[in-house]
Amino acid sequence: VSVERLEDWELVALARRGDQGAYAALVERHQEAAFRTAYLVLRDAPEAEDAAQDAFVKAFQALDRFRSGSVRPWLLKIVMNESLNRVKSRQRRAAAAERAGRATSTEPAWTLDETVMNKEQAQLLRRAMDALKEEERTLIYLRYFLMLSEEELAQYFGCPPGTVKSRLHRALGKLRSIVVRDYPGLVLESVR
Amino acid sequence: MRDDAADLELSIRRLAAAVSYPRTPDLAAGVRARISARAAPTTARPGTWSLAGAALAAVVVATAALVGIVSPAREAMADLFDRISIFEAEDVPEDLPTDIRGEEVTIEEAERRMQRRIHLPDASDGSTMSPQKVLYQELGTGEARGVASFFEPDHGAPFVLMQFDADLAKGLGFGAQATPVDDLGDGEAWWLEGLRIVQIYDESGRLIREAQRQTDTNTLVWTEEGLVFRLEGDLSQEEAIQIAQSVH
Repeated sequence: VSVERLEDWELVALARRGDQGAYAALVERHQEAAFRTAYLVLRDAPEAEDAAQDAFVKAFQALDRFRSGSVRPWLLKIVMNESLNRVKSRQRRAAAAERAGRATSTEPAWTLDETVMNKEQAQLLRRAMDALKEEERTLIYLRYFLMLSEEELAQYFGCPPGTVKSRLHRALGKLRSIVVRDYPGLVLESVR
Repeated sequence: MRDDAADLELSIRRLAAAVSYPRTPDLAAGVRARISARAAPTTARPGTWSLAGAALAAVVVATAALVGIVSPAREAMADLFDRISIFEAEDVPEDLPTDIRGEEVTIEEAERRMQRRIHLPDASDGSTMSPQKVLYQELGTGEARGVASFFEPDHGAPFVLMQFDADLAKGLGFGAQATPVDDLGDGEAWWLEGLRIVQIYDESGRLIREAQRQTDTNTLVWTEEGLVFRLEGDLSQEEAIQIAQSVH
């Protein structure tokens, strides 16, 4: 049977026994979500590629720890950890350079399609999201940018789906407060 | 601005649609090359974690539903364990403390109570770092002892270096990762990320329940000179290894 026709868990089982072809198929299947996750956090394509590759290597080394459930949230959590660690290292390097009086490079930014959203408005909303706690921002990325289901989010955060819903509700409420307080120039879309 | 959660949600969806992702690169070839370069342990182990350095230490993965049943599982396999054990925890209870506790003492007092030298890392200029704070921990009925030294380097993230005269277990929560680290200390060494339960065991293999805590801070663990070391901080793996290698 071609590896392309196997389910994720079957590929994991084969990869655990050392089948690199099966793991390569798993990587190909999830590389877009992994790369996009890293890009959302790092906002730099070459660094996102490097982070995603390192995350897939770590996932391979941790295959025995994958249990039941969907592979995607398990993989994306490893990618997210790797990416967040890199952001923290980058921030520390920038802070050290600033203390030493050296010029720091500008913070990378997403490339945006301005036909979909006005660039200025997009930047305001992104900056408001940056003011959230890391876990709140992660939840918003996973739900709205990477389109994980509530079940996948529950698996990602290791909590019941109802808890995910309430955490998302709280994160949106906090974001709304930040927008009202700090970004009055942001004009929200209207559902009416 | 309309004060409406649905409007905000719609704006987030719009922003998500506006992100123009670069073309996804083909990662499989690079991943395969990196796995080969690192000689991943999975290929050399029979369906479980590698049993690294059989003469030195065994690393065992046990499966435990809750902390409550971790201890018997750990004790049943006591003869298999050496200083560090890593197991999967189906659930990490949210009520476990997160902070590192202990009695604040001087380095000299910590050495007197531990009856051994307290190991310290080097700063970037090669000088021995001085901790901002030292906590002494006497765990359980006193058989297990530990010292936590807190550092705030001029450059780099703050970190805590802990050294225990005891055994250590790590209960990994969902998505937490444990990566073996080569050439550090005189036994096994692991790099840990994600939510975990930290447990300390006394010499007889009994879990010291009051010492349990949870953490999601990146941690490097290794053994040396009869001690278990934990380096915990907002550090990358490379930064942590560099600090650990300077500990003397």
